[in-house]
Amino acid sequence: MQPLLINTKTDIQIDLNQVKIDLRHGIRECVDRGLTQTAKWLAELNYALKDHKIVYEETSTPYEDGTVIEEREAYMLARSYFDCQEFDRAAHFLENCTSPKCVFLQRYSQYMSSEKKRLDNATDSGTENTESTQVLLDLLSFFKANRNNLDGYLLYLEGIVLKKLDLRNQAVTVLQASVQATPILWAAWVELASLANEYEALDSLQLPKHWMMYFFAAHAFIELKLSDQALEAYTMLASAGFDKSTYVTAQMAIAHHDRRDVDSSLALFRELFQTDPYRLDNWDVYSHLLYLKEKRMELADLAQRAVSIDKYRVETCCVIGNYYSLRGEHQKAVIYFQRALSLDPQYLSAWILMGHEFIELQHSNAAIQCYRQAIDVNRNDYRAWNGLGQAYEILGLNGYCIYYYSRAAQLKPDDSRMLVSLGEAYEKMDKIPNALKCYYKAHSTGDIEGMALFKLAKLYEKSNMPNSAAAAYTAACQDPANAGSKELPTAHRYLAQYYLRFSLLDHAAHYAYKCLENESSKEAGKNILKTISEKRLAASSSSQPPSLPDDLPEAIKNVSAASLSHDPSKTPLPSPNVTPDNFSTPLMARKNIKYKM
Amino acid sequence: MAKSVSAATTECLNIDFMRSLVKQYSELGQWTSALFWADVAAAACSGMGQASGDDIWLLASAMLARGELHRAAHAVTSRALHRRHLLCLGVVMRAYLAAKEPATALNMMDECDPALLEPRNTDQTHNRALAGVLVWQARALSALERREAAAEALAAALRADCASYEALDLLLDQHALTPAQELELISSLPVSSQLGVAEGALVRLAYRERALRYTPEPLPPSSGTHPPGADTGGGASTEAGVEAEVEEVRSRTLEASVGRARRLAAGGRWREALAALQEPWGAAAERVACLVELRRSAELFAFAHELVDAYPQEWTSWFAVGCYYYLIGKSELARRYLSKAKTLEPGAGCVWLAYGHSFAADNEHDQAMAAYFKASQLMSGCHVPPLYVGVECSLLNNPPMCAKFLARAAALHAGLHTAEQAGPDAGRGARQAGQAVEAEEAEEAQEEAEAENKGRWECVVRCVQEPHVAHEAGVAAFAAGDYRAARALLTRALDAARGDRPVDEVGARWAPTLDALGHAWRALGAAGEALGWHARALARRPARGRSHAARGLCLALLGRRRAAARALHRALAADPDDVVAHALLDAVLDRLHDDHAPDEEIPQFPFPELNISPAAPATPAAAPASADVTGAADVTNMADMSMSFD
Repeated sequence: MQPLLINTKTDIQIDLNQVKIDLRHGIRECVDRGLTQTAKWLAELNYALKDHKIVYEETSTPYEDGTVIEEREAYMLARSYFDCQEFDRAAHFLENCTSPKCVFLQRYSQYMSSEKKRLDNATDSGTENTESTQVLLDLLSFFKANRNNLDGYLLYLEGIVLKKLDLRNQAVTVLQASVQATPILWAAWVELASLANEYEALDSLQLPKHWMMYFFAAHAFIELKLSDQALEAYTMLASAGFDKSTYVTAQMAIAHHDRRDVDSSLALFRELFQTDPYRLDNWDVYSHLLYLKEKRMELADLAQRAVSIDKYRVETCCVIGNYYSLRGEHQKAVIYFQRALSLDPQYLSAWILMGHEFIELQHSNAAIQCYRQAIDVNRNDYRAWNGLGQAYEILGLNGYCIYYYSRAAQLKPDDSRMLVSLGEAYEKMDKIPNALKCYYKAHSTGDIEGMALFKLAKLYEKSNMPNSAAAAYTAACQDPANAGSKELPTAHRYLAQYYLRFSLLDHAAHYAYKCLENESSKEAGKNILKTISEKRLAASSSSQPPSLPDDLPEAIKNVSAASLSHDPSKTPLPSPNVTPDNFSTPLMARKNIKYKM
Repeated sequence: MAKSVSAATTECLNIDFMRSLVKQYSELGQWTSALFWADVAAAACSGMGQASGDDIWLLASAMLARGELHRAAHAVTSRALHRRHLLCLGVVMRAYLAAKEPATALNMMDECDPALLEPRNTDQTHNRALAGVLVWQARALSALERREAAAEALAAALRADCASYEALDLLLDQHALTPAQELELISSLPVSSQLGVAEGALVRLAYRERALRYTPEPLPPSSGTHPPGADTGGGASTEAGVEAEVEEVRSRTLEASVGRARRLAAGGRWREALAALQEPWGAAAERVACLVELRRSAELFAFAHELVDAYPQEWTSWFAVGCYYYLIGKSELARRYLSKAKTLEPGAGCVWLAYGHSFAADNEHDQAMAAYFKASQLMSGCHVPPLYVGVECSLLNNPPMCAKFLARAAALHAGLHTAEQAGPDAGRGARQAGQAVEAEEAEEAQEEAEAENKGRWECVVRCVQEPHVAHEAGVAAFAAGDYRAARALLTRALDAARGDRPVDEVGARWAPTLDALGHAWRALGAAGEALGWHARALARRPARGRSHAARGLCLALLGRRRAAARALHRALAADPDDVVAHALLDAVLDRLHDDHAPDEEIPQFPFPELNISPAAPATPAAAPASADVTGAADVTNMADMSMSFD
């Protein structure tokens, strides 16, 4: 047992021979128990390691299928029923079996059956499904009664039952025990990652020291949207020998997507598409990337392919939904997202995307419903909170807005957009200090839309803090990323007037000329230039240093004193010795892309 | 009538042989043959003088079995045998009862020689016949709505013949006695003088089990097997070995499985109860109840159909149909079929209960209450009707009446438990409870005062043993604003429901109690405690909007507004139209902002004027941008700028 290694900078050592042995064993075990998804995942990983040849000691380990002789027939029968999705039937024929595999298959069949029914009946009535809940409770009492002889697989089943019943803490405990007992059971790790919804929670988990833990850690980083750490972890895994794994590539692509590195992500997805063209997994993300890049043709093509592979997969529905959304056919997009949700009501992205569509359709209340459902599925997804904020913004309920935007900002502290929205909401509520703080924070975390500084400056302007306003405007003007921004003329005009007020004519002239560049501020620029030339005339005639106004900030006084000394050759336009830590332009690269959240 | 047989033939006819023929044909169900030979036998006898009572009894029985009711009655009455022959009296009464002439049946009995109607210590055969007559009398009396007299007759029948299960069954079905009285009666039966050791033990055991139909079956660890001796009470002097054997045999009887099902159902374990009812046709009412509780409408539909096809004359068939319609929410149709069941068997209390339920489902509380009252009359010893009357009173916003009826329900049920602990105390327990009810009524005369308001529920608290009653009383007390009593009652309900298991293992059925308990704790100011209860409820009914909303309120009261907002969001996700959650969320978010405003505004403001103003001048020279500062002169800087204008 050891706590989860986070930030392992050191290279990880994975014994691939051991991995292959584990995988072979794990695949068999999972297939026998009907854990198809885990078996698939393991097999993919195994395939990725196909070039790594090892010699199995076939003779020494004849495969033991772990069932008692007398139960073998029942087990075979039940397995085949299970594979045909006849869960009740499978459970029925295993009723009196005692071997661990049979017990697991029986209980798992019961669980699958009740979940299938819950899904099938979900459309009939919105009310809670007492029958399915009863099955879960019965399963739980079975687990309680057999507390001492549960193997890792049964513990996993208990974990998911507990999670279904929303007993999260107990579920985490049980799942930890499960991965301890059978580290190869990937499904248990995944559940664990989805339950440990905070960084600290992740840190406090007691996990076995096993190579699966590296995959878990990386997966958990993705879940927590700690994209950089996730990337790092996956890079390490790739270098440890898993570079051919489609899973690792896909996860890396997702990490890039989460950190808004659209191009890297797209490149990886395209590569993935070449190696495994029928892999539908994560195509929802792929399609979202194409959506962001507005690649209509490629998205249409992807949608066609997805339909031809499997029409009734959530990913397919999601791809089509994104396609229609890009075409502006929001009604149709909603239909496809709904289809995705009827296939899997826990499918988070579809809830969120559907919410976005409803926003587009000006249907705020429906959007709110969607986002709420999304939060119910995963309350740590910032997109849903942000969506709620937007919806309430449309409805004009700023109080709600503030709450939702601040939730979103908390969950995704490095994203400026929510902070800007939050600031706007505060501004509307007349909470100027809070708004200022938000804009400032948005700027310093790396402004994505390039609006934070302008908004900040305008607000300073409005709240009568000209110096701060000027500071902010200047920073905004100097940022090359803002070139061409619609807000620039306003900034230039303001700055020109600001310096004019202090008779810093050179500076004023500089900005006044800039004003001329734009149609809207041309007139103002001309006027200012006129005033400047008048003032210059007056100054040269009087040759008396103009008296500086009292309210001029200390630093400017120095500057102006210097610049007024008419000795430009000696003293360069001085940079005051103020450490600009408040207003340093963030180093983080900015992206001007339209990024849909 | 064949009376004109000449005396001469009697010699050659073997009467004993003919009588045995009658018996054999009766056993074979060949009633016409039986009648023929009984006729001949009677005729042969009457040739020698008066036909013997026994022969006429055989004759009349055969007629009765052929459905010739009045002919059978005439055969007896024309000879006035009903006055001096107990068996004949029985047949006549059966005939009149079957002909729906209960008054005539009773008249027949009145005409009988009173000495015959006395039990005889030595003659058990006589007593058995007498018990039969008393059972018919009881049937006639209850058909005439003289239920108390009927109950007395049944008790007398039981005393005369302990083995007369029909008397017991009828007595218990009518719920004429309180459970305590029932148990008292059973333990006072002269079993040991009438039956052998083993049979006596069986009778005691079976009767007791039958009487304990509202006591939940003990939970799994000891399921099915009763600790011998502990149950059978005082009079048993049998060896443990015999008892174990009897127990073992009894557990295989059909009756025992129905009894087990009843007790499982009483504990709310409907699924197991249904499984215990293995016979396809037996115990229809119990099966219907299970199916209704499990909401298996399709199965109930099929079952009701089968019953109606097979037994259109049985009230249970129509009861099943009515329950089906009630289950699927068609109250109108439900009432129609329940009415039919009522006309077939006016004495069936459970039909009236279902009738009441169908009204209650339509929110017609007055009508429902009337139905429950009727049920209460029909089954005066049962705690269920007053329970529902109490619920309806609560729904009609009448706490005093509600408390009164729930107290009665509790008292009726509680008697049973005290009896279980100590036989002789039973009566007293019930009486005490009765007094409590009276005291309650007396208190109500004064009304209004707060203290009294408290006292109102106290007597329920004191004697309630039945979890459902306790739950309803708790909820009603909560609605009436007496949170302390509500908490006590709900806690009691939970304790009763869980038995000796820990609270966390109580079944999903009790989720409402857990929620209600949460509300009560919160109302008493212990929001933290309340949270725990709501969480427990949620573990049993996951994703229930109201529970989440209640959690939200508790969290808000505890000042954990963020958590509260989260809980309320879950509530709204589960039920978007939850008005309470909406209002709460509004309030919580409002407070959240109020909390924040002072926090952020003054101490943490990052741009105090002083801090920023020095930064401002940094800008004029465009110097601070780190990239720009190359140490170059201002001129270059300006040149740079001018480039941009061109």
